[in-house]
Amino acid sequence: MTNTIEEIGDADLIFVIGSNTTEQHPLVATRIFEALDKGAKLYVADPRRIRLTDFAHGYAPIEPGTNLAMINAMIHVIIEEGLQDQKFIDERTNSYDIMKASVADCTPEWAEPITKVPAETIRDFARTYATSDKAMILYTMGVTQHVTATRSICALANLAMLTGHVGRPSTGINPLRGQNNVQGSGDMATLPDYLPGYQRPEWPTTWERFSKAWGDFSCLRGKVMSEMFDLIDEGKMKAMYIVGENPVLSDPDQNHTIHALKKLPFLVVQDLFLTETAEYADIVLPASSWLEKDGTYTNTERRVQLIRKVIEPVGNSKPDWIILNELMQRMGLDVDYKSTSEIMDEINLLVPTYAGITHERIQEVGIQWPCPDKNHPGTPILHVGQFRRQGGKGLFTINNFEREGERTSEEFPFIMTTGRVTHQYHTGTMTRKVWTLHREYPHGFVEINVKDAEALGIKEHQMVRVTSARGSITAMAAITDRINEKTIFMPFHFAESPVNRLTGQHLDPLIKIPELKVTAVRIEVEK
Amino acid sequence: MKRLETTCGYCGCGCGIYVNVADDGTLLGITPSYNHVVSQGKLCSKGWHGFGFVRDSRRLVNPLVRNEDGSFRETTWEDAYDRVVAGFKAAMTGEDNTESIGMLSSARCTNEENFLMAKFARKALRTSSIDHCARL
Repeated sequence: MTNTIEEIGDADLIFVIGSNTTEQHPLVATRIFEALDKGAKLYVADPRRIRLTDFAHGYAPIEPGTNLAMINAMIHVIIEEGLQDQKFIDERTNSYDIMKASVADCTPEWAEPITKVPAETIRDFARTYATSDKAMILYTMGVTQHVTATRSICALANLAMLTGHVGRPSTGINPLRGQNNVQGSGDMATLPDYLPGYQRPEWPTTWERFSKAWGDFSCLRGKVMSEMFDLIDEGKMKAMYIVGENPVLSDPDQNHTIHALKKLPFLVVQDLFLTETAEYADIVLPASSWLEKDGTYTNTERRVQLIRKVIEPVGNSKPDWIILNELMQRMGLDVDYKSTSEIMDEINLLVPTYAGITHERIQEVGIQWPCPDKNHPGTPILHVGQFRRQGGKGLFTINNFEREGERTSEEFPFIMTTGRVTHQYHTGTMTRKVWTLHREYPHGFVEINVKDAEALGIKEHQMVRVTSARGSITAMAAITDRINEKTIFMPFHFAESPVNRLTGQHLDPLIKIPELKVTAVRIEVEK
Repeated sequence: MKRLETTCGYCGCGCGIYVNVADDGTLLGITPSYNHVVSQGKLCSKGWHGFGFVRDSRRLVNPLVRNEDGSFRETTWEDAYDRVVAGFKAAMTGEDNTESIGMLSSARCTNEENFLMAKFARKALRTSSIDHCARL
């Protein structure tokens, strides 16, 4: 997030796109309701009439996969009607004219047949966003799990810069991270194209800084997850070490994932339970949970917070950091980390945005990065006064919408979109073992529009079969008028209804995120 | 009874919780943190109930290795470590193993653990192929 969760409560307008906030980030949603109580407006774009839409002043029933067309059309309207913040554009940004030219044809009438959002609704979204003083954008995987992920987020950045809704309280672009430490694991660069602190491997300063602390190391651009599975298939990748992930359920195209894991000569899985992925391992290492160890998580607003060991590790399990320390030693490295705070000392040294964040300083309240030194209070709002780019100017980008990725066909006429329910978490490794949570949603389901259900002769709670070009699964029908026609929704928590057996391998060309939100399927009553 | 302050381990909100633990280590329940900057004394169902998996009987309590018939058997940490190190070393192709060894880390793990995983991949395994579920 460029801004903080607390600031949501003081916004004049909250534009939620691709986020089921009440279910996935309940304590962010409470701030939305706080703002509504103070008179704020709420605008929601989502293919499902999620709970937030009951309170919304504007609702766009957007077709999955078309966010970019809608955002570009909003930008078009703002420029056409002269609602942009010209002072902000002139003083703080570059490349405005090129971006302006790129959306010249993106009229709401152009976007309407693509997005299924009425042109007048798009105009209303654009005008309200542009004319509200403090307007915040909140988004999650409904924007990112698409082939247009990068372009859609860049278009949201265009939208925010165009209207000067960045670098001030209760504005900005605010991704809500789905897992406790998505932000931190990115910051720490368990990524193939960065070293910790988003430092590119090819920058000379990166090598200089890290080789001083680490000596010689692999400083290349590595392979992303999907490329690793391809390399296994090609017989090149021989070993894999998977910590705390369950790609058999969470990655697209399950058959491909399982095929690769079966083929892989050597697999080590480190987890709390014998997950669906661990079933394919050669060695499984038992890890301790978040209640059995110390350390820090970085929440979605970049706040680094402590977790504390509440109980001793269960059985002979060990915290991941201890396992890694002991494995490093056995691989011949001269390391001996005695505590997580000692690891943080090394992070302080190597990651400039974390340089001032020590365990000692965050005993009471977490600190938001960037925090460049030990007297710095942290940074609640990014891009105040100038952007965090070289030269300090925000850069407008061109993000053209084209139809790409998965498309429906006569054989597969429905779009399946996936997501979560509030009481379960991801592949259910933990929450399906908590009876009070599990009883709320004990099995998978298929949300289908009442008209489609009627046409297909599907009754409530009947078992239905959902089939894509990759595979076929069954789940219980949940008939509703809160989802677009010709669109179905399935949660991905349930191994018995593994939706990622259906999802495909269409990737965003730049960051390679899979298009999990759009899968062409057909649906029929299970015989 | 002890009451220890920590951060909820589910979504990215990062709510403040107190975990109530009996003297014998039994987890008794959660108390919200009333002054917490994000959660202000409120929690969702996962925040209140989500700790129940911790002592589930299916928890892995020892390292596992495969028998010849494909089933798993429990082993010691020392044995498991020896096998892990041997397995990784066998997969190493030379100076750099970016194409031959991959690592997937987790957004469930702490910053310190993710930092060590980045270091483990790039320094110990000598591969730059490390990724995690934020790609999803």
